Amino acid sequence: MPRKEALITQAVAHLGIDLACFFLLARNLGQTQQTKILVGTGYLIFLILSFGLRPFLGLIMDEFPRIHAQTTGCILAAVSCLFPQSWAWVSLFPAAIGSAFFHTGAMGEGLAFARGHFSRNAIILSTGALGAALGTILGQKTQGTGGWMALQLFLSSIACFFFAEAPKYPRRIRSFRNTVSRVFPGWGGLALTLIPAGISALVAALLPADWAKGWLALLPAASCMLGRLLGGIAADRFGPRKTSAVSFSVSLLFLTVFTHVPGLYCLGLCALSAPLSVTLGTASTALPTKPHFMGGVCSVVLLIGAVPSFFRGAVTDSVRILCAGLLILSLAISIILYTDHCRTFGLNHKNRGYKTKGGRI
Amino acid sequence: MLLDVITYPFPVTGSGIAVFAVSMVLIFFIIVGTTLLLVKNLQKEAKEIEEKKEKEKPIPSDL
Repeated sequence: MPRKEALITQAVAHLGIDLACFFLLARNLGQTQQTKILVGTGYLIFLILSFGLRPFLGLIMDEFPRIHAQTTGCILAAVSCLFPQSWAWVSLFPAAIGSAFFHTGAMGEGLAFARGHFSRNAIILSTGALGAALGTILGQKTQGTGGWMALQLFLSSIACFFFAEAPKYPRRIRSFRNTVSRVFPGWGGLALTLIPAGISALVAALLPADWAKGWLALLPAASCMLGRLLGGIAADRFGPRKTSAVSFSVSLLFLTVFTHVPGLYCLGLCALSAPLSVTLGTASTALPTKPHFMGGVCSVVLLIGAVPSFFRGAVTDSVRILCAGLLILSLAISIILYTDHCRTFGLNHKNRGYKTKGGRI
Repeated sequence: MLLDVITYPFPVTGSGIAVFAVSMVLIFFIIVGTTLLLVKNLQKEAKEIEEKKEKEKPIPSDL
């Protein structure tokens, strides 16, 4: 399979599908619904469907790898763009299900072909944040049909069909170079791996950039994109322990103290987004035969973290202290959980017999 | 009121509480479903590894 083309196609398609989905939400719900409650409800339903369906779809995709998930996702989202603006609630469902299909397929394929590198998934994951922010801004400002969105999604679906699909992905994911300390074997290690991801989503939800209105909203999104990208590259270069520890330390300082300073807030958000690919890669090694499902499990953790953003109040000092405490917890987990030495991932990964290079798995 | 705080920004009216309750129930089922599937698959994986180990054990020469 042409790996480089698949990578670029999926990264671009990820930008396109998130752009289209958030464009639809902002245009259809934001412009037609009279109350903020209805708009909030629409976003919440989208989020629950899009993130919540992923583990279940992932399990189906792992059982039937010939499903063209990314193509199906793009087509479903494209169809939702063709609904008239007044059909806001009807168009929400194909968009959310399409988004779930695409993300599950892309994450699973990214993990299956990662060959022990975090950066592959980081590249695919990174573009989504920018797409979501850009889509929201365009949706708030645009009147009329989403025909051009549907067109770009149909083109993405064709590209995904030819380049991104991987019906014959490896039966087992090759173990990631990073590993989890033997002190935390099996399920305990997996649970601890997932906790920092949930905390990252929760902190980002509890400490929003209130200054980011209009086009300024692209700044936090671009920081998030850059953070995910650099996080994957740094984890490959320096190891997951150093990457996660530095990321959580930087975000602890800049996100909780300098929330109102745009530049420093963006730096903090960039650091907070960095360990996501580490979490995804590490968690996936718990079930090497089910990359799509493990991608879905990580998505559910992100959903749990993101949902409080719908119910939050103003950012007070107590919220900042809570976030600081949660980030310190993540930092502690990262330091004690990950190791940059050659170890195996608990009980499930003993004696797998993976070939190692230079003493590292 | 505590209910105001919990359901914010959804108002403490019939529709507000309904939206809040339905979304929480959905998330609850998603979490329970995912956890059950994860546990089941991890157990299956561990069992497969054990079986593989058993097969790989060298057969004693006196047999």
